[in-house]
Amino acid sequence: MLKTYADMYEQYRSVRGIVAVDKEDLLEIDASSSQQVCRTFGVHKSMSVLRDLYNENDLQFFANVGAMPRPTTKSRWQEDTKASELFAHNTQEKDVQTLDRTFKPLGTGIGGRMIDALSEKGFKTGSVSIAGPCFALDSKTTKTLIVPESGYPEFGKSRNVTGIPSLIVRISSSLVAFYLFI
Amino acid sequence: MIKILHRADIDDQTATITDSVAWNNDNWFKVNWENGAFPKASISCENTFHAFYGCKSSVIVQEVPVFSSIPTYAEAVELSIGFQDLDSFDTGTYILAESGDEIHVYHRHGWPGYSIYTIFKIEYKGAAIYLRNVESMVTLTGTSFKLRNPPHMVQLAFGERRDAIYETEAILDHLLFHPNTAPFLAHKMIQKLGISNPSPDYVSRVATAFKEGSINFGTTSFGNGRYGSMSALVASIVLDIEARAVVLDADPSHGSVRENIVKLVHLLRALNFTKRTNENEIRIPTNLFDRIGQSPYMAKSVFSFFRPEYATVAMIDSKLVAPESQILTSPSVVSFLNGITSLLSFGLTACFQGFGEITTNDCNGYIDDTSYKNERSRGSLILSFGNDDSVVDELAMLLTGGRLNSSSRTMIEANFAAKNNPDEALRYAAKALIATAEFHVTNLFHPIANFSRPDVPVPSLPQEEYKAIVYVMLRGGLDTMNLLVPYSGCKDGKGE
Repeated sequence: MLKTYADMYEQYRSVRGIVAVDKEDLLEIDASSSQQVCRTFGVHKSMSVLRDLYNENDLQFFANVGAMPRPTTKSRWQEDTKASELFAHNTQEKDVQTLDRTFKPLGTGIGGRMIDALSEKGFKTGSVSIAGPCFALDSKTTKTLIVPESGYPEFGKSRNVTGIPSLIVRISSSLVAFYLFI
Repeated sequence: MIKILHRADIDDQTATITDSVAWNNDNWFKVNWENGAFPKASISCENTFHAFYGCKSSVIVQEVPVFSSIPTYAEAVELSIGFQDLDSFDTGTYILAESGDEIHVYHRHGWPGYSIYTIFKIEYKGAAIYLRNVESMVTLTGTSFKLRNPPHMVQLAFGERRDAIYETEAILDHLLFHPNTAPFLAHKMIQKLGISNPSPDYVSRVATAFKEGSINFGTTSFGNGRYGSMSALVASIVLDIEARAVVLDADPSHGSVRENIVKLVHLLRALNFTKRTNENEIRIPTNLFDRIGQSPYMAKSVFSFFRPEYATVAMIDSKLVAPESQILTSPSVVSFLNGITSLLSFGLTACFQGFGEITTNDCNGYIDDTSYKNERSRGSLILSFGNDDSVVDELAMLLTGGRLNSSSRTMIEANFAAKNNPDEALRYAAKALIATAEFHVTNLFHPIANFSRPDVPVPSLPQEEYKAIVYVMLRGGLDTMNLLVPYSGCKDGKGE
């Protein structure tokens, strides 16, 4: 028999046990204009930036989103989640960034598909990553510009490369093939 | 699943029951009920005592034979109880009764016919093993319900380190001998050794060599003949027709993009890196990983520096992969070329983004390509070549395996010939060669006539407003259930 709770926060406390966040450690945000089951939700007090952005209408939460192909049950989950390899953290990281319910081994990311859709509508788009290549930005139309956190290195700054950049441009036809791979 | 729910009825008052099998713990055991049938309180327990919490019955535990005639190999291998080598008994203790396909049956002296003392000898995972024809059955008294006493390696009551070691060995064997292991390892190792998209036949040949433990090429044999031979695996990869066929170099999907760290080591070896006499080792800076995406012992995860299934955007529809491309980002390409050109000119220093540690604060002292002789570097590439056109040929052989296309070769030769200083000319040619496509991939390159890299204009800042989505991937460590917590006014919670 399932217990009934007078209040969903208490239910959350009961389910989460010792890792539940105390109410005094939560920042309350108003969700009364949404279709969500609660009028207010809490975000952790160290995430006040999320609360502020949300209050300024610059942040949106998507609740109950996950890389599951379909809703499932305890008795059927193995069959239902076969394509996504639930217990491998590399595939889970990929799945959450692609959110592609077909779980193809190769495909586009959630951000990449937004870019593709916007480009199709004639918008100018682009993607920049400061964390190396990432699945979320894989798109069919746009290559991600990868920028190191420390800034972009410049080629040929020192005197030792005199003539090399111009030579690279001249053997550029060979570099066309090379750049296809990067 | 079953669980012990009540105290054991034991006459011996001094007996103690260990915690792991006591009635008041939470240990559940997985058991196989015969024909899947078990007593249920809802159908009045069938002849068992109906207790307030379910059905209750006393039990009989019996060892019974599993087979009464010779089983097939596939049937016998499912037996769970092992036995010692029959050669360790006196002659005549066990008598070979009959043999089938890959199976021998021994009966114990005095126990003719199939009994719980019958032993089967089979080959399993490359070794002879002995299995007892026995299972322990638990019968619920007065009913038709039976369950098999689950076999386990470590005793539930008194676990021993020895048994834990056996069980660990058994798990490792299970993984090693799993049918997926050989093809998985074959595919990944072929990728590591230079062919990103091996054909299924190639993978199958390599997996077979791994399983059989040996492979012959001509009169030479590799491997020790046992399952899992790495020498057979590696030999079968590098000597396979798909790795050696020269014609495949022309296939744009053959071969691989080369790893940055492999290119660096290749350069140090091929161009005769010589450390300074007072240096014990080649030292590389700790931030090499941040610059070229690789550094010894610095892989970010168990999946190495790049994912085996990585494909660039341009390749998504082709179903091909180029794992090494994942770290070949434009910053890492620029950093790599900077490091290599610095190494060629100045030796291993930190000057001008060199790959050395900081050895001097005065990089301005490094002026031209003779600076590599400077004692302030950790070591240098000591090139000793002639100064005619054959130098470019030789360098191209060392750095591109002789695959350099004629158009780039002509250009590099012309520039080489135009330099007056031999040192400068040599180092110039080497720098130009590491900028060619052939140095960075393993296959051939055919320039397309009259086709040059398009000019990309320097982008300017947009004048109009734009929107950006900022995507932050919190890799592990975030408990999503604690990110957004129900707070108040929840309708299903019937609160407030």
